[in-house]
Amino acid sequence: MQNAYMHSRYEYGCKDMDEIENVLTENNQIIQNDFDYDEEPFVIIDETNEENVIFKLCDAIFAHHLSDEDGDDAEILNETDELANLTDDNEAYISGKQFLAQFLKKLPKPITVVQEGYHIDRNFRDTYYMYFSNQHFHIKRYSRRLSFFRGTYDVEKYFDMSDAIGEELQKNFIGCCVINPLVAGAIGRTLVNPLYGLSDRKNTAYMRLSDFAVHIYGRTFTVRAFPYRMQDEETMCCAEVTLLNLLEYYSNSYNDYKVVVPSEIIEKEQKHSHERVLPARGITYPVLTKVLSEFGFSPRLYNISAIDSFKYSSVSREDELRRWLHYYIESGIPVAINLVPIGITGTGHSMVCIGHGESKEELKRKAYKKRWLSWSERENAHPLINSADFYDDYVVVDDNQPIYHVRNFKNLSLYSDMRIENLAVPLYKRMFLDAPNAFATIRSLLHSKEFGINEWAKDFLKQGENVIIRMFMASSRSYKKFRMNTLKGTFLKQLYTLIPMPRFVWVCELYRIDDYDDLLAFGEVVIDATSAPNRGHRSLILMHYPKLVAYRNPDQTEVGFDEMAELMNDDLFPGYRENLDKIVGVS
Amino acid sequence: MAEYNITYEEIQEFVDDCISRSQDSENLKLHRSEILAAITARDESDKENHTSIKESIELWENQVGLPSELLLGTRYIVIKDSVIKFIETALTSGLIDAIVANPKNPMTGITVGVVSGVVFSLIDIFKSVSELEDFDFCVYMQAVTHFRAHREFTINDLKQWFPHGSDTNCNMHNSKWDCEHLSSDDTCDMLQRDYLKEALDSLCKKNVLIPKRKNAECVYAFKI
Repeated sequence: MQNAYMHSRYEYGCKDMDEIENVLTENNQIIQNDFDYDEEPFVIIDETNEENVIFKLCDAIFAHHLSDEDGDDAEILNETDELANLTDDNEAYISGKQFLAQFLKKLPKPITVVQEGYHIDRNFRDTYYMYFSNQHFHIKRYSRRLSFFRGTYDVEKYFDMSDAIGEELQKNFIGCCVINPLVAGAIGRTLVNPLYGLSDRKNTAYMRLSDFAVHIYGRTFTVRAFPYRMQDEETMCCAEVTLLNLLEYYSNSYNDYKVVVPSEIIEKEQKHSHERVLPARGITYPVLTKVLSEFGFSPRLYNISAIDSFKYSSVSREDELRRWLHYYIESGIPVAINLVPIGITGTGHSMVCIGHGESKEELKRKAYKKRWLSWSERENAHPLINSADFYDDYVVVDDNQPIYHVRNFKNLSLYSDMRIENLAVPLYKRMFLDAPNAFATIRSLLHSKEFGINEWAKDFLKQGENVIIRMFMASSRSYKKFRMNTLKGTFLKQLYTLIPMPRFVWVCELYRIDDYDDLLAFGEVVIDATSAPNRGHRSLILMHYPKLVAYRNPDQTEVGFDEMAELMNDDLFPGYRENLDKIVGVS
Repeated sequence: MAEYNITYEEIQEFVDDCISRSQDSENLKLHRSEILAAITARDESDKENHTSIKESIELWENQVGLPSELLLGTRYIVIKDSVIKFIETALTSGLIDAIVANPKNPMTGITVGVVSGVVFSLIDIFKSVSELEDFDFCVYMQAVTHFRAHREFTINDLKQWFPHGSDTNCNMHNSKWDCEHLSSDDTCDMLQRDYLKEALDSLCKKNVLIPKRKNAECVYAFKI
């Protein structure tokens, strides 16, 4: 192992720092040209050597891989000016080599790529012994892992065990990517901070992430990410990759779920299939949800054709399905999405949706026209505008696309001729009330005479004033903590924390139109996520309207309230934002 | 516009109320089931539609004497406020009487037998109306309101029906509509801004009005 910077410092004996830097740049260029990038543990990429180093590094890493039969990836990277054309806007399927080149090109320079040539990836090693070791032609056992850091680090600096360097490295840690020795699916487990991995970095996005610990050459780093990997097309197709990414996210985030390797997914899949499942040919969504059940989830499967569609309504089946997706995404629950070709039979696709983009003014205007009223209360009730209609961009993790791709709901796939057929939602075993039923219950509550907006916010709102509603699920622990930190007044804070709640609750925040952009609510209702649709208004736990908070205790069986507290003021309060991480766009 | 959730029971009450206010209520009562089947039709393919509409008519016909709690209890539709308003006006102004008197040819399906053409005529017109936009919807509604007296009308008739002269207060009075021509003082500037011709062209393009030449003047007839 040798390092370019170590050579320069000791061999050229420069004293002045500027002089050293100049010599370093020149000689680094020369020395890096002679590198064996296949072996080099620390590779520095800056603006001056970017084109050359990315090309040579990718070439070296994929040199031992069997190339695709058509040899497309090799051709593309043989021309250096083609590198400039590798952008996220290129709507085409990308190979592992192209993926890596594109990713490296996009990172802000300078960066250090730390290579571990003999990396044991749990998932690849599992598939190796399950499948690849049984094949005639040789496949390597080891994977390679690349880790990315902002800034320049050499061996000496990296292994300086001072706390300051450790903290600096952690601060500059971008993420890591496993390269498997395969024809397809070379990009294995990839964990990248979305600040660097988000395809559309100009706009702000909101996404569900988890803290993953990564051990690299004796140091432990944490990256907040969602797992990404490509399908190898032999043991894992898109649906298996969807499952593996979802299950890895859940096992890393919650103690309720165990770590799962591909062979366990295959085993469960086999249990519910009528023929062999290897080599992989994909999973239907009914089997996918069955596999999720085997791993401790209580999934819901929504098929678009099962949704009621009304002839004289402006809300189509697609609109309703998108709303349901939005409720779950806003709840911080990643959703598996199944797409099928439009109009013809053919191979479907699967991906995970983990977040949404920004709201759009044009969509707000359209949502206003879809505002909802109950017929019986039409003369007095406040029309409800659904904030889920303000969004149509979603963050997807799709093995055909770069990590964290923001795409329009109508065109989530890379292929324009696909439409959404199913949503599979991996729910916790005690989330009995699903999003459509929770929404129906909440909507009915908000227009009811006993608990409705019209009764309890009549002094606050104008007659017939429109109200924006925002519905999501939250863990009561996190929800109470947020409210305790953001509500005004000790009494109100105490009240919220003392109200008994189940582990998960559905919350519907209420906004006046002018307050929504600042996310300042005037009220909210909280219902029990462990309830059932037939309980109706008895699912209500808490209602908070201007100058009033009322709640029900678990032993209360009748509709009504145990406790009701009048408040001195009608302060607005911040909307709950703990389910998703806000990734601010870079202009 | 707004959207309503209306239960089948509420729809039934609404239609009965509108029919009772119509001049030709006896004739409309004969077609009550078909009107209700058209309003509660689902957005399905033609083949599915054919079957489900026939079943729907039968269900509505059976709700006499001992109504089904299953049908009238929990089932509901989601419908635009504009369509509800149109149905009310069309039932009371004579437009639906005209459709009932002159329906499309009866539809015959392979498995379901003959289905009344009245339902399909009603569905066509309700669907067309549901796709109108605010500015042309209001023009259409002004004309529908005067259907009994004016089966055909000119742009000058419309000008008379719209708020004009010293009284420019909106005569539609529906707080659920989002009309760009309605000012904060409840006055209408449709005529001032000369939007009638544009709205009429839009309605002809959407196939809900048919333009004709009569005595060197353009007259508009309803597509029924």
